[in-house]
Amino acid sequence: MLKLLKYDWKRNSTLFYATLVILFIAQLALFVWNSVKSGWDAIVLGLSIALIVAAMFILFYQVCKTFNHHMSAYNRRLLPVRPIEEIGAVLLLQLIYTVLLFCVAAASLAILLSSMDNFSFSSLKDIGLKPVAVISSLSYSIWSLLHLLAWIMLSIAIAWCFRVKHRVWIGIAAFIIIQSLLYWLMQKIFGLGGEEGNLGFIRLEFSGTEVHRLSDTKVDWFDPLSVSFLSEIVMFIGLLCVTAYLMKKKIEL
Amino acid sequence: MAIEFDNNLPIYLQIMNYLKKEIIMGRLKAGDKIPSVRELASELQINPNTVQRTFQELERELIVETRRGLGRYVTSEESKIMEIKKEMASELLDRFIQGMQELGFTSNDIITIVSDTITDVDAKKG
Amino acid sequence: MSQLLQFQHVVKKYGRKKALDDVTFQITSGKIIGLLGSNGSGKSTLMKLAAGVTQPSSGHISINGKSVGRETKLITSFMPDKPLTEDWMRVDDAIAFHRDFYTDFDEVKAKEMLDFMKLNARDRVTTLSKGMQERLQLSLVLSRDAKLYMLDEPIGGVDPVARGKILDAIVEYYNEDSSIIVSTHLLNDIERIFDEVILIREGKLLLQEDVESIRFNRGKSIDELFKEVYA
Repeated sequence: MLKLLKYDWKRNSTLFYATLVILFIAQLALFVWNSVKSGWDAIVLGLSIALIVAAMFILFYQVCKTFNHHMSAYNRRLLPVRPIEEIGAVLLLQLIYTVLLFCVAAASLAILLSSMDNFSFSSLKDIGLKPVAVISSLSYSIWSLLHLLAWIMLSIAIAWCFRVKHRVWIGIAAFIIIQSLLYWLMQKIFGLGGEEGNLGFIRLEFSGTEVHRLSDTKVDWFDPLSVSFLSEIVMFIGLLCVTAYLMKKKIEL
Repeated sequence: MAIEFDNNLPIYLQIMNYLKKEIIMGRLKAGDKIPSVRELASELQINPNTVQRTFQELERELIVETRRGLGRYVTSEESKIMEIKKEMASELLDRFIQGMQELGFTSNDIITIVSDTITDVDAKKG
Repeated sequence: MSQLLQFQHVVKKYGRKKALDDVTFQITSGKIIGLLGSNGSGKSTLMKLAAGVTQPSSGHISINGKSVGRETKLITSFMPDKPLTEDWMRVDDAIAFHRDFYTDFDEVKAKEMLDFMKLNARDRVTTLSKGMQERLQLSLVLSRDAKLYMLDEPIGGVDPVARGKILDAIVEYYNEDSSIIVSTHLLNDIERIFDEVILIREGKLLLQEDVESIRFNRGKSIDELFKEVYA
């Protein structure tokens, strides 16, 4: 599996480094701007986060594209590897990308925030940003991304089972249908509300130039033993198994 | 080694005939080493099993012998080589005579024609 | 000699169309086999199934007694009609890739073949001409010490010089423990390297015979036989 990861990494290395470098330069530009201009705090912060999210999208999209490529590439299909290893390598790639991106994001945000008026790190604690909460939220968002990736991989695998021209639409349709079905099922079984189970990103609300209290009531401290999380793990494993099965038996070129 | 192959006939027979000719004409002398299966297959771009079969047939006819650990060699028996020469001549003659008889020539005619033709050929050469 | 490759009543359907229709045959090791058929006859499908790229609709395929799957991929080396390299790769990346995943990959052999085929290690795969790409594919596939090699149309669309080199390579790398299946519809040069030929038409197996027997018994070249059958 690590060998597969090595080649997935190499395949995307140019794009990955380019994305990180551009992100870094852009953050640097924002920092410089904010150091010289005042009154731009909220916008600059917003832009900074938007850039980070954009970079995350780009990398996530690239990972999905990589998996899609492997469905039809002969050099991959002929390899004596188990499908679960291929899936694992893609998930690992996404994990590494996300962690590295988060590091860059955290560093650039820290630097940026330090350039803002009326700001000090200790004030963060006052508004409820405990380290534990941050780490658990970040972990949960990494988990959610991986979960989403598992969904997308399954949809891609389903799409490749059909030998038609517009299989991409089948994949998208499959994704939407299964997601909706399972969401409805979860609600029925666990009585979950509409807010949980989504990407647990920290939300920041602004008004003016101040950073207000975080509305992190959803995911303050996520409980690994909670029913919802356990069911997510079960679902995750299920997704991977079905995807592996399809890859083994049903893919048509 | 250049052989013009006819894909309509078994290749191994064609190689055999070729090698026999080389031996008779002295280009492959008695006791000479012949190329290995691989070398020949590679050179002629033919299937190694075909070459193998050729060699097996030649061995069976005692034209070629295998010396353990050393390779394959043309037989050192000069008498054997003479035998092959006669055999090939005999085959040619049989076909020639049959062909001429089909055209309607009598035995005496055939002898006369051959005699005359050879005289002409020699005269042209000389 | 053991059964290297065995197809038993294999059917492959795409929708309602049968790409392979009840195909049964076996191949022993130590042979070079020609898989003949016109375009669309099912040759590529047959090879893809044996290589494990796709699964049959029904029937069974085994290599050295094992069902086609991860284990058989370890001993099967397939050259398809599509590239075995990724666009970002250089020639040495492609070699490294195969070396990393296939324990029977012989790197020394690979480097020799690259020299033989006049390929440079640092060239980007995308900058290679079609002929050079074919040569690279062939090098990658034949540098493995596999039991079953399958080449899908290796000489189609390739210049005569490259064609000669490819035939040379096939004869060179032949050994008694393995077999090579070559699919083609161009017969003249290549028919002399075959032990046996298998003829396929419209997904059905028409004939499997020793090549010299065909010449001996029918007095025909394989090329002629092909033309007769597919006329």
